[in-house]
Amino acid sequence: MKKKRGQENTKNWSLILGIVLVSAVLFFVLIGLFWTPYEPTAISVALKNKPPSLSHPFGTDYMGRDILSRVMQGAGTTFLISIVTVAIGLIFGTFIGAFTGYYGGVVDEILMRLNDTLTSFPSILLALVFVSVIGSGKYNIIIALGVIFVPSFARVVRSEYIVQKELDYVRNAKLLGASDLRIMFVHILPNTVPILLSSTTIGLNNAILAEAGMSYLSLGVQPPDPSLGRMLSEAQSSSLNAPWSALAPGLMIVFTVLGFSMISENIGRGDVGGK
Amino acid sequence: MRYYVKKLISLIMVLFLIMLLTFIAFQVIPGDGALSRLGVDAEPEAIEALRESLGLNKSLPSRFFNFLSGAVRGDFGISYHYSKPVSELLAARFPATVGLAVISILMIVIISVPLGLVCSRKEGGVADRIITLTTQTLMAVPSFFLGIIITLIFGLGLRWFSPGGYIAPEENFSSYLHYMIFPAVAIAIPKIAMTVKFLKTSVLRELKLDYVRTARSKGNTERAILWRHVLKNALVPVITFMGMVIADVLAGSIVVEKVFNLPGVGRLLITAISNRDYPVVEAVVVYIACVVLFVNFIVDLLYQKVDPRVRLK
Amino acid sequence: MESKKHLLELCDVSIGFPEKGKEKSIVTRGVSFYVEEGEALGIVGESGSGKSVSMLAAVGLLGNGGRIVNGTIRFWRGEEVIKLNALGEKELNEVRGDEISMIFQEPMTSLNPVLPVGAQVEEMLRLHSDCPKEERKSRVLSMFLEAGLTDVEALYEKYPHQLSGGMRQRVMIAMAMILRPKLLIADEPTTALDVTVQAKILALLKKFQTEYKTTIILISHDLGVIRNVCSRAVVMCEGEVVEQGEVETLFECPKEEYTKRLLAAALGKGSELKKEQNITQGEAVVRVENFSVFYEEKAAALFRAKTKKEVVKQVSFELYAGEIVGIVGESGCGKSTLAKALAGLNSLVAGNFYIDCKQPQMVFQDPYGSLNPAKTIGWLLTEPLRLHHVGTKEQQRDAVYAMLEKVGLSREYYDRYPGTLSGGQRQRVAIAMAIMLKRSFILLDEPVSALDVTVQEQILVLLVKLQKEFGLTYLFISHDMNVIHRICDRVFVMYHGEIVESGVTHRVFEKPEHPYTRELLGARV
Repeated sequence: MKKKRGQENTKNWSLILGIVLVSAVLFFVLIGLFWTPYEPTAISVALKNKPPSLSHPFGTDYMGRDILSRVMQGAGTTFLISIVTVAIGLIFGTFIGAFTGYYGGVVDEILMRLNDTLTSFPSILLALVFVSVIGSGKYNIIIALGVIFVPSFARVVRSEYIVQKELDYVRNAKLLGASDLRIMFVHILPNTVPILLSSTTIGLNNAILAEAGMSYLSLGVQPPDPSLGRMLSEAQSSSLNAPWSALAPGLMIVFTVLGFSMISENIGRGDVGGK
Repeated sequence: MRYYVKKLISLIMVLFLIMLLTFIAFQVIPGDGALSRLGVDAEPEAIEALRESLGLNKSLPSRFFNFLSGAVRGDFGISYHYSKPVSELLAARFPATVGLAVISILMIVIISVPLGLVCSRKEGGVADRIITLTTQTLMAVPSFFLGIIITLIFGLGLRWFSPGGYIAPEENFSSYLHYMIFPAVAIAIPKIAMTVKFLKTSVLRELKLDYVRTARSKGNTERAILWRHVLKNALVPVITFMGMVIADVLAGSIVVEKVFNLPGVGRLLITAISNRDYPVVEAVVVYIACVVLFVNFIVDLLYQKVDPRVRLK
Repeated sequence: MESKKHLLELCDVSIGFPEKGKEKSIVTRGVSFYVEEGEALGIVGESGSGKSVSMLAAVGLLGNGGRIVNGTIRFWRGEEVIKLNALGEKELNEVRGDEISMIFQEPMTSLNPVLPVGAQVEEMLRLHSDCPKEERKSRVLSMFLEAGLTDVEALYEKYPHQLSGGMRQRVMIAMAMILRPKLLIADEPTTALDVTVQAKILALLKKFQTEYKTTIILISHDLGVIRNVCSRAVVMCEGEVVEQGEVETLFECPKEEYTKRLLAAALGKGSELKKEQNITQGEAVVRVENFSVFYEEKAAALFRAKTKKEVVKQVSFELYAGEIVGIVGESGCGKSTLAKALAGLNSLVAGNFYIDCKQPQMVFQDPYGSLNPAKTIGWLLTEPLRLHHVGTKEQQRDAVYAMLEKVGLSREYYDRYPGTLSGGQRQRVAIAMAIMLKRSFILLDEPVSALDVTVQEQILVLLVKLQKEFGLTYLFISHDMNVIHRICDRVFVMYHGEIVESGVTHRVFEKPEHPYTRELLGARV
């Protein structure tokens, strides 16, 4: 179909911006793994609540720690948690979605009722329930969020399989003698890649926001590990003395989420493996 | 009529399921409630007595039945931490949370519907581009960061409100509203952005369909096409989306209540989780579940009102 | 003749759509034709010929940023000639619906799904007449009756999804005709309908044309439809007018090569593709006895028992080696269901069937759905060999190359994705896939129905060539009597799940016995 030229340009432009934002953030985080300007946990009474300056571009916090260094490491923690979480959701969700969507039946019916109920609750709430049972901390957060992400991925994959399995190319593969497993994972799976890509980026965003929210509520990553949510919570309690300390961690979240959402919007459906 | 009954039955079934899961999560998995309350150092007799009074010695099914019948009456037992009835604690926290939710939902509906329509009518125009870029950016701002910024600018900077303050509605309703507006804005802004975008996508998708061409061929003006033909169709997916947004608003209020230090249900939940005060956690979870399910129920009803195709299914 | 005025006239019209990059892509070039007041003009062409686009342009309904880049469109309005392409949106809206109305191909999607059909027709009165509110409903109801609809009072409140395809198209016609427009533009109005319904809708259009002197422009790819309704026709191809004139002369002695080809392909006047044989001796390769296929209706509630509906009812037949046997019938008669069940794609069956080869292969109707869009053509054609462990990798590759040549595609297609192929090319690949395993029995489920007539012709030729070369037996499912006539040795006519007539193709076409067969043939034009 023909598209308006203006629309086309806007699309490319926002995809490029998204990629730039995400790669900048990733670059920043990767460096943070090996090197930070200062020791992120180094406390110094002398440097307490210093506003942004050349030596501390984003200032220091109420314990005199360099905010830039802490953001670099904190973003790493947030990223790690989000990526592992989404990976758990993606892998298990794809398997469950593929089997239930392809075979249907009673198991599918029951699982999907359960699924519908779970996905109608906001993920942060479910994560809170989990954490209240299994306790907080980095690994528990990963488990809690990971488990919560499974149903939404399963739902996306399932509905895609339900559509695809009725297409004639699947019938054709059956007639050629392909086994069910081969049809599911060799023939159909590549066709779900576009939708999986966009749900993965959306999932990453949700995971980042959920992790930040949990840590902000002090129910996520525990000190001394830095995390963006925790930093915001600490920044708020010193907002009278160091209002700048919320800026860096907050913007870090905004840029990451904005970048991913711009990318996910432009990869959407279709256009993979064709044209 | 059958549609309503069917939806109602499934609502009750799901609610039952949630009660069961809550029961398992908070009364079975954590282990002995009496022991965790009194600590391992307590006298065995005291623990035994507490078990007896809490009904922990009974079989699981009968404990579940007790829990269920209590919940139906609004009785969730006594808070471990505050030693007060949970229902009382919850009731005291309702005004802040409900006010927050209602105000932000109103803002979302009132602001995003016209904006969404403007964007789709003037697609590609200056207004559309500005709104699109703004919404995309605002969507990426978590509501607690937005809350912090609002506090910094309007609270500490401009002194339009005193951060951390709250006045109960029965004391002074207009002051109550005054304290509600800012947190409600923090919750609403990202959701407004999402809704505008969703509505715009939905309208644009409809505008490409054949029936719009038919409507044009009949001599309808663009305005009439949008209002009379497209809007009702475009609202079908938006209704479902709004259901999700409302659930999200509840979740957002948990965090935003902390940002603005409001005594709402969300704060209660967080404190209860930190204190492992399970009866309170249980009650809040069931409360939120009820609201979410009720919203879904309403969404289903509206859905079939708007879309005649649903009625047959 | 000269005194008749040209109600609508297109002069040298070129239409462009914006494309990526700077240049506009031009879809029609210098199109000129006219329609006389009171006549029925047909516009014929294949998809992409610009026939719909030029009429949409005339009434200002080009979507996707399309524009008239050159030329004028004149229309007699009252006693003056106006230029439609120079009108503003407001004036156009006065003409649209009131003086020029339209009917579209897909009546399901062309009606608004969330408004009752009565209100949609009533809207015409509201927009263009000063008919008082109370009278509008009764006018709509009497229009419904005129359009051949029944139980109109109840119909008024119904939604489009509650009606059948034919009823929806009647509603569309009622809507288009309620204001007695001067010009009715019907864009493929019967293409989505079954042949017997098609005939009735066309009859309805003709009735309105004679009764109300409405001028009709009928756009169709189907020459039979044009011949049935129109007195004059315009043939279009790739955005240009190829030929125009009286339908009789055009059809009897076409001047242009393209028109000849179109006629040959469409009216079955081309040579029969296969010398009819009568092979009823010897062993049957396919034997079907009292065979039924069921469709499971979704249970109304979770615990309610599912109900089974018999779609194919106790059919019995035999096929012999080297035959092409057609099954013809309208949508929903069970012909596709039968084919799928014979291929083993439906397990809800009763009765017996025997097929003298391993798993038969099948070619499906929609060439866009039958090839996996995520794989290359080479991968797709190698898949059957891979699954059955035939040969080494090199041998498989060579076999695929050889097969591509057999179906008329070059080696370059090996690395291409289905998305980059045309419908005809895709269908060639689908056929190649079906014969890759060298199974002797192939089921063809409407293999040419989604294709343009000239492409249809090529695919039919290919099918017959391959059939001879590999000694294949085909079961050929189609709704199109012309196609069946050209390719099949024998034909079964299916109606409501039963085979109501069977026999050698010539006999069935010349001396049909069953009334339904006669109806199908009668609708063929």
